[in-house]
Amino acid sequence: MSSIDRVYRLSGIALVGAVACQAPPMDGRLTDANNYVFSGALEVPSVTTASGVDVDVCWDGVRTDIQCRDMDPVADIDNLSLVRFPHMDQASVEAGMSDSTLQQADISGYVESRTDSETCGSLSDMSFFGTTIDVTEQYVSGAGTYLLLLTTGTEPAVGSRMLVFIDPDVDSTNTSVEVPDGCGVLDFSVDLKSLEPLLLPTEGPWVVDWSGVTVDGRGLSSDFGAVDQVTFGFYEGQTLADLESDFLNIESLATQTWSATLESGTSVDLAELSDSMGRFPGFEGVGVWVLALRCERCFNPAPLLLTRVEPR
Amino acid sequence: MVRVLGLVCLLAAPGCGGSVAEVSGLEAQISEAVRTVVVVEWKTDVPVLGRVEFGLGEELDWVAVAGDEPTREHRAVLTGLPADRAVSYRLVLDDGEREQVGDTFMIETGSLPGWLPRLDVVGTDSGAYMALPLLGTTSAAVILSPEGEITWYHKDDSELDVYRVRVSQDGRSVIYNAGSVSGDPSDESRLVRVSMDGTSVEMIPVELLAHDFVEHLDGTLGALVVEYREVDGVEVRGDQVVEVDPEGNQSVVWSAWDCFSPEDHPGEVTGWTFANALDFDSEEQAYTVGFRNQSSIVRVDRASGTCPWAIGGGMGTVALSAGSSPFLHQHQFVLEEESLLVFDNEGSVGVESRVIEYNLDLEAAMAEEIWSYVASPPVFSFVLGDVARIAGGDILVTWSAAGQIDRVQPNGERVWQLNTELGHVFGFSTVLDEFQTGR
Repeated sequence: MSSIDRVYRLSGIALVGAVACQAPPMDGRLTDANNYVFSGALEVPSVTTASGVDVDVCWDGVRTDIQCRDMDPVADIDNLSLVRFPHMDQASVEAGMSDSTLQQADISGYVESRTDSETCGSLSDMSFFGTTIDVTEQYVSGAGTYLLLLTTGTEPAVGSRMLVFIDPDVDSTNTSVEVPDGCGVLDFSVDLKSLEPLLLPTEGPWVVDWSGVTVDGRGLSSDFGAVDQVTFGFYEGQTLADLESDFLNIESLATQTWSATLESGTSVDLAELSDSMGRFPGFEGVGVWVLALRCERCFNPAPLLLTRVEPR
Repeated sequence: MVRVLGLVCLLAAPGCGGSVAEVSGLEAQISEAVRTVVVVEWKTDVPVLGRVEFGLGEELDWVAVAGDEPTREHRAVLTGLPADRAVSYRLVLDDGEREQVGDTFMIETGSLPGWLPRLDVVGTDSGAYMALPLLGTTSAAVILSPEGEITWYHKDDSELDVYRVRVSQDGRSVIYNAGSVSGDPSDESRLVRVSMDGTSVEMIPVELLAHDFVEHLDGTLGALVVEYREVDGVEVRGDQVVEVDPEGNQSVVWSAWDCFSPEDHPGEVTGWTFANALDFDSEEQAYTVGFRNQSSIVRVDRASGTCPWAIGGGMGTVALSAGSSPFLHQHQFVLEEESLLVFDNEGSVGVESRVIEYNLDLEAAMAEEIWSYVASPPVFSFVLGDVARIAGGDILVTWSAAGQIDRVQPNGERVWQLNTELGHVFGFSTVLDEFQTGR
């Protein structure tokens, strides 16, 4: 939507408000009050190993990811990477991942290796821009916090399916890491009932604008310019309690979802979202309608915004 | 957003004695390819020179020229603008004797695409526009404003990485290299020229590109290229400088074998020389080449292919004075009349990189360490890394692998810092001294 459109829209809102006396707006403009409340923390498992030696890492036993979704350790894992945080302890790294506040400068090394359908690798296999690591020098006690990431895709810090800290200790002789299942790594609670639903006219238009939203579901000031995925889901016959109780599977719980990839901008017309059957046809059926704005490339997979939509 | 204003009557400057030209079809439009770029087009009834004065908010302190010759059809590309900002602009016509200034209009730049990283800035400004590559999660060329805002971007959708971004000598395009220095170099590597409005992309295939390239004043491009030679039955990885002239002809102008041999200067497991940095001195017609695996920086005479001097590592002919520390596995550098600034990846003690400056006395073949800088907390850039001195004497340090840029005063005080979010790193940075005329 251009700023000219927005000026007209705002004028229209003021006029309608004056005439209708506090009638709830149905202008598609989202505010912080529309956003869900998500509180979650990562509790990443930690494995102590020997210091200054090569370490074998295997993930063949990983059947669920950090969002407790089923996963295949062969088909779903493309990359094994190791990140070193020289000045942060494990708790700070967990907090940084939860709050999406980690910066590239927080790390002092990143190396990776493609899995090529294997389910085991070693630190000495890893490299970055052609630079391998000398594990005897770079993987040592006291040099920082080391985080292993198993990812779908090969883009750094994107598509994390499982995380595990490895902790070099001079008193340890352990040289192997068995990556555990991901269920339980993400401890969370979600509140979908307290938010103000977004009211939209049943017959349209269904333009949704989040330019006025300032904080994400965690209550943190967030970059909504990072939204690159819009999903609108219909949950026939389900309640908010159903969705809250199985929130990590909210996508698979949906009766139907329509989505769009966003290059840029802060608004979208729901009529332009689509699924395999075509574009969103309109509000049909009885159930819960949920709109989610996501940043697919962000470290934290939680939607930046998630709200209920009520057609009127 | 498009504003079609149709016929516009320009206000003649006082004392002009009539209008220079009548304007029609004035249109300002956000480029769909780079939504921070505004393209202004208009026509005049007679051939005149035209330019657009523009700026953020109500300012009009920048200039975009619409061609070098008088014409009836004008097109100016407004660059250097951050996203989602109001921009004022007005036309100025020039018939060679008089100038005529038009009304002021406004337009709003578009939003940045979501694939660009969040940039966190501390401090007022870096002191300069910078062109630099993004690597890691995204492979792209960007231009940052002094305030650290992205004002231009182009995503490279190949599987290659971008290491250097430059604005062309004529200011009409952005040039970058797309290659692979991770493992083997790529046969598919290329130099890429993108128009300022992002709508035109020209590929110049150059096989086996390495980290860096330069552009000469006449538009000739000089690039580092990996060169393999068989030595005693073993394939040795060296480097050469390949030039691409303005007509597109490619020629090898220098090879590391012209001055050195692997027997005298053995390399490392990743190759013999591993050239990773290139500068060009147009006055002396000389290249300066950095070799990572030799920890050496070498001067190359372009015409003769000789190497009059080198500093650092086994190739060095310039000695370090007592107490001066050497650099190790360095990347970019700045060679000035009497000094050399080096981004030193691994020469410092511990897991940290640094910038080191030497006073350079080439007649005496001596160098003396006179300054160094380590970030606080220390930053380790195990690959890439760049340094530049900006007007006023401050130094910009690009800790590439850490996604951090510092502006540092000569006294070592950091006055500005920019950080990327996790997953994004920088290539080499190029300071753009005259990117925004009038600023």
